[in-house]
Amino acid sequence: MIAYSSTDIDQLFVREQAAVALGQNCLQEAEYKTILDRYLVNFYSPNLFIRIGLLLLTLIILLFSFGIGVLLFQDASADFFAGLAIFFGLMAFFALEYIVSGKKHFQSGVDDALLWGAAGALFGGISYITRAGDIANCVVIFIISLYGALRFADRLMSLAVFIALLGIVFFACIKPGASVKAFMPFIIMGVSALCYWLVKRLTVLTENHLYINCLTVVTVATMLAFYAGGNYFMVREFSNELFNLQLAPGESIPFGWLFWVFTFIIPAVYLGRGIQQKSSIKIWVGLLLMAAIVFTVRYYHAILSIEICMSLGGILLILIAYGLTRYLKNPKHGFTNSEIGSTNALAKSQIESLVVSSTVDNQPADSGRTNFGGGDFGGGGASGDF
Amino acid sequence: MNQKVFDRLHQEGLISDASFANIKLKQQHPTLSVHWEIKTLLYLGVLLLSSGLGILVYKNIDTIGHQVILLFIALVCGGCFFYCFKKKKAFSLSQVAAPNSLFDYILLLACCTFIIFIGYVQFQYQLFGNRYGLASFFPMVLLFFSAYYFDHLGVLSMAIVNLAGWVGITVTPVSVLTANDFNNSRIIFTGLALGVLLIVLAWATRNRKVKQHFELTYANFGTHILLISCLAAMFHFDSFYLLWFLLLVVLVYCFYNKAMADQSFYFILITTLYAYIGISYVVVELLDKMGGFNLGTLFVLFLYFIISGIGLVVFLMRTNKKIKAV
Repeated sequence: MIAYSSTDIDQLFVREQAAVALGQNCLQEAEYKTILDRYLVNFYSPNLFIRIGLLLLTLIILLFSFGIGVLLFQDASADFFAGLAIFFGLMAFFALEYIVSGKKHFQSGVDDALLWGAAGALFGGISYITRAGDIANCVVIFIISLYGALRFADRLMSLAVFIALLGIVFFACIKPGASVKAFMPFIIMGVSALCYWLVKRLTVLTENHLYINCLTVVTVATMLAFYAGGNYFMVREFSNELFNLQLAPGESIPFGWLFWVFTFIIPAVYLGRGIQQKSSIKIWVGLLLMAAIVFTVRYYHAILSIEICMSLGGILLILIAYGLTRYLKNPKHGFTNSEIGSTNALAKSQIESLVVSSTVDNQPADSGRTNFGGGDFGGGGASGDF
Repeated sequence: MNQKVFDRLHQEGLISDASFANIKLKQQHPTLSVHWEIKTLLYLGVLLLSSGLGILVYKNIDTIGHQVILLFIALVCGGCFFYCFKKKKAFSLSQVAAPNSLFDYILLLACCTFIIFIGYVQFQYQLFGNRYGLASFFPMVLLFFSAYYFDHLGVLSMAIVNLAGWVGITVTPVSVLTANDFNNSRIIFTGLALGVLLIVLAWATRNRKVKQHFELTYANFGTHILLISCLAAMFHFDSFYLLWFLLLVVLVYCFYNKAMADQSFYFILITTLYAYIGISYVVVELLDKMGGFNLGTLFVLFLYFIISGIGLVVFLMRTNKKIKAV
């Protein structure tokens, strides 16, 4: 089923696991070396930056190759070009197969670009020629991305599979009328929960890590979709749109309290389970959704002005972090504040410094000849008109 | 860690019994590191607090409350700097690790609040009058001082952004292309000069052995600013664009050799991409000169992109191999 050589992926997995064990000081350096010597990988997988470069260049090549086709038949009809796109997509899939089996590329940038380019062209062409509607579009995406995910174990494709599935369910439920539409939040939540359970079973079942990264991505997506299905903001604004409720500001929806409960409970449950199970994914999703709670509440209830909110929130976060640091001075309950298996600390601090320079609002009051920083939070002096 | 993998490795005799027992123990009692989670919380906290205070003080100008807010900002700033001076390890010209995991963020908060404080005082009381340059000069000096004295890469990049702001351009990674008007020759020359200055600083940082780990930050900002300005000059002064192209080629050649010597994939990628943009611009210009754009030239242009793309793919793959072989 999978295009890449599965023995090579196996070997790669063993090497990665050995690296993890080495990082946790469970393995001697010499043992690690012998494992690396024994488990060789034949893939061509260049450095991350080279991968980015190869990805960009392959996309450029694909784009202009299609452009040449368009130039050749410049007077043809739109349907013809859609057909050309389908043909082009199929060719790209063939090229991808060749690159993967012949040239042993594995996450080299070339295979990523070919896969996305092929899938995009194929979808665009089919969708245009068949004049597909909402559901049909989602079905086409679902089929193409399922193929891409299964054959090439691509994370983005797996995400597309899940989103397309949600889309199919969503549009299918709009059609029959109000009686089904009313249950939309629960349907979305149900489908997400089902997918979560399924993915979890798959992770345990297969035990083969060929798709482990894909499954992780889908897990996160199902958790987010489950929350979005029950979040008060999403439910209120969507039902306003779908049922044409024309709610006045401040007006609530039927069973609004239930969705407020979901809005607050779900992130807490994620975070709690994450801490209980020591799952960093759940902890991260939980933390992210904590922010979603704040935004949802603030959208409907202007409790405090935004700047007070930010300041108090900032103080609170610093205090929490301070408390956790103190609490975890010595590892407790299986949690530690020290880095495990850290490689290349300098690279990490470099990235961190770039994040700082692009998010901290850092330009002082000036003559107005420059703009004021580039951060998401336009802070001190950001009015820019003085 | 996957138990089956280690079972297999143990059976194959690649792992000693002691290590295997160790791994089993770790598996039964796993330890989760929340290092980056706590760091992220701290960073978000600092970001929110300093941005919140920044807005707060500007929104409350001309009310009684604003002096209280100002006092609060000053207290936060002073308190944080006091903490840093008290806790810091002895200064050294080489890298100094932070005394604890909070230190870096406290320093960041100190620097952010200082900038807000100076900005506000200038705005309200015209501390520096119309000499706006001074108002950004002082924070810049403080930032550079803090970066070196407390050894903080984040503050160093803030300082560099401030330095660029002081000479009149925006260099934050997100907005360097959107916020600057590169059709202005003054901006272009400022950018060129600033880029050269930063490259020289990067060079001096390494050669004089002053905080050698700062080199990458200087070189990163410097390379981008210099090459972007050079490309902008090519586009702007289009009657001499070949001259600027020549400069670009020389610069790219130097940067590429440096990147190869350092085995830096990152710098190889960015110099390659900047060079590619420059070369493609020259090709487009030449085709334009040869008789404008018609079907024939478009064909040639598209073919150029396909062939050059394939060429560069091969080039990058070879370079990757060359570095890995070293």
